Amino acid sequence: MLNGYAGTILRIDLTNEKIEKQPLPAELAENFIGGRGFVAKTLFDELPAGADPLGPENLFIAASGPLSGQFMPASGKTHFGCKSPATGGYGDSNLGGHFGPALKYAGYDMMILTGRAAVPSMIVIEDEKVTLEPAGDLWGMGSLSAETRLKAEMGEDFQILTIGPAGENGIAFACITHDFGRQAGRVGIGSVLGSKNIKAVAVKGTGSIPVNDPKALLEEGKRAYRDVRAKPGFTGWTPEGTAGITDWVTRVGALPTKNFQTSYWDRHAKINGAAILRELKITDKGCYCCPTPCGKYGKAKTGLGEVYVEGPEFETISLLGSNCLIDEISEIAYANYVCDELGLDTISAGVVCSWAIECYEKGLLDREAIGKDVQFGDLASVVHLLECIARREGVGDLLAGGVKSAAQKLGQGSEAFAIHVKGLEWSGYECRNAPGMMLAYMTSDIGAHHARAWVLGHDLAGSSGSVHDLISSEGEAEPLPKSEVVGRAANVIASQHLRPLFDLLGICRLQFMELGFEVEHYERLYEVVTGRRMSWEEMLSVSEKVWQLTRSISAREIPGFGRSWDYPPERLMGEPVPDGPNQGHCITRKEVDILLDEYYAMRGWDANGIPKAETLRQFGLEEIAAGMDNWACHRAA
Amino acid sequence: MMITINVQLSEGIRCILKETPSTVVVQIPEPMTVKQLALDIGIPPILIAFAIADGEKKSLDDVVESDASIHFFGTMAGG
Repeated sequence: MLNGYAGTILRIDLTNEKIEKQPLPAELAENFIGGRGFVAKTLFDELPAGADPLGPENLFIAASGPLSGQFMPASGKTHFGCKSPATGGYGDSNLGGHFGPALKYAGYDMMILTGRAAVPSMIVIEDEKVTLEPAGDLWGMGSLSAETRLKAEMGEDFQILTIGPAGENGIAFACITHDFGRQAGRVGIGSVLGSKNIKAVAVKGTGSIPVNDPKALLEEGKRAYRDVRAKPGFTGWTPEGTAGITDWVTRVGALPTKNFQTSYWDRHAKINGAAILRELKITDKGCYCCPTPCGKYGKAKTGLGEVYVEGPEFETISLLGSNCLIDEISEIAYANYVCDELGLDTISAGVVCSWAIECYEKGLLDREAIGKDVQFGDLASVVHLLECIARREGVGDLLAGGVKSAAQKLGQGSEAFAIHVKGLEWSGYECRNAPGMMLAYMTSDIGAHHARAWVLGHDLAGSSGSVHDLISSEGEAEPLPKSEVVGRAANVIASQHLRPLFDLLGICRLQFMELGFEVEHYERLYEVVTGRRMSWEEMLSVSEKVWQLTRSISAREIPGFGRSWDYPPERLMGEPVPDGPNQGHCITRKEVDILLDEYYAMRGWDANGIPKAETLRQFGLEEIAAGMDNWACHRAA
Repeated sequence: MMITINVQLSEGIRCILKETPSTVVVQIPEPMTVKQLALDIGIPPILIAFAIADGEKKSLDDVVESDASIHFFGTMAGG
């Protein structure tokens, strides 16, 4: 018995309709903790090299961590992994809600899907009973509609994952939806589920999880809740959730605006957290055991209709809002709803739509190609594009592979303003004057995603520890000095170990990052749950090992993978910001190489960004080091 | 009469200003803005995404007039 874990891996070979249960290996739990660690190790060990991301040989993995489902704040995270249809390399994404805890209570730490079901199907897990059931009548339905119907038919006790038409149609930025508004949004994970002919997964768990010291867990859990609730920010942070930083991101010149043409928008006050409270919000909505529910459930009224929707959170505000010049919060919420129902990641969708509209403005795509006249600031344009994409209709087929793929097909210079890294669209922070954050995006193991490392504050504070005080009042844009490039890697690397550590443990990081919930809580909770003592530093070391592993997976899978895959697009590498606090600033190609040189050296990677064998051995990854001569990175793309 | 302010910093700020304690108690002789309070205890206002005083969101220009507990939030990565 492994304390803290359900103790079983559920494997489903969809092609052969074979369902297997195997004990969770103790060494996997000890060496990789859970969640993202389980995903990375399993992908490296079991994914056939060179697998087609949308082929039956790809793996779809759902994994929880030892703290998932436990009595402690915000223990509701579930991690998903696959070979990414967006990048061709390592891919993972996570969501909150209640799915992971339910899967554990049903008896499973991890679910691994291989093969492809013969007909559209859904997986039903009710404790030890696991069945594959036909779901042809759900195929074609929206994500939210399908979940609504399944909840009505199966009961509220089932926790449900669904995909929408985008996942069914292999869109490179299709997501998984759960709990009517929680998404594992990134890397095209929804398309991998769709490629396996799986429309939904429903799980009901009524069991329990073995814990080393239940009495101590009760005490530590109570103490944790007391401490979180005692934080001065406790009552103030929740009302706006992540949307509360919209004004700040604008003040510091980091708000993606008009397909990242600039980083400041004077209409930010119309789309910020206060606007959500004023115009949308009905209630807060939280995940399993969360004392600070950041979800905002509300009603949006627009000229296109009225919808109930969870969101938008900050990323959606920035990419579907300012980046598309949509300046009404209700319209952003409506576009959010359309994405949720179609099963599209709002981040990538916002980037792809804004790229398409810029192509139209530049005459690279015309009315005939797009199907209508489109323009920035027009909700109908964005909704038209979203619907075309999800169903691969008209221009949607061009856009279905994501902005990198679309720009490669269209050419004519459109690659320069296709905002992505490795094929994953850039999330909500423009960073032409934030070299550390730029490096974080460049080296994120899944592509341009903010949740791996977040060092914008370090950039503002300055590399030498000096600080600026250039803001006279909120909302005013004043010039910021150009940030130094040298000396950024250490903070990025530290953040790349810290933030994903929560993804290993199976919990949300916001209580720690935002409320100052102490690290000591996690050390104690981990010990009373698992019976193993592990310091925070030791946990960070595991997170570092997983980082080496995920980079190795991409190096193994992607022909020609290396430094060139870490470069930002031309717009963010040489084109000065036209206005706002960072007017005139940019990062040059030479500076990008300085950032990468420093980073690779500190990581123990070669000059092309490939882990060295001795580095992998330092982390006990000997078997990975042994096979690296055969990795695809050594072959031409 | 001095005004007593209990200031707490989010981890998002402390991971940048590593030497700064998580809690700072200050006494001020007269009302001052949130921004000036931050400057007085060595927190660059630019690092403060927003402040919460006794459960209410405050702007950097709002004035603290009486005893209060204030939480300075650094920046978070949403989603």
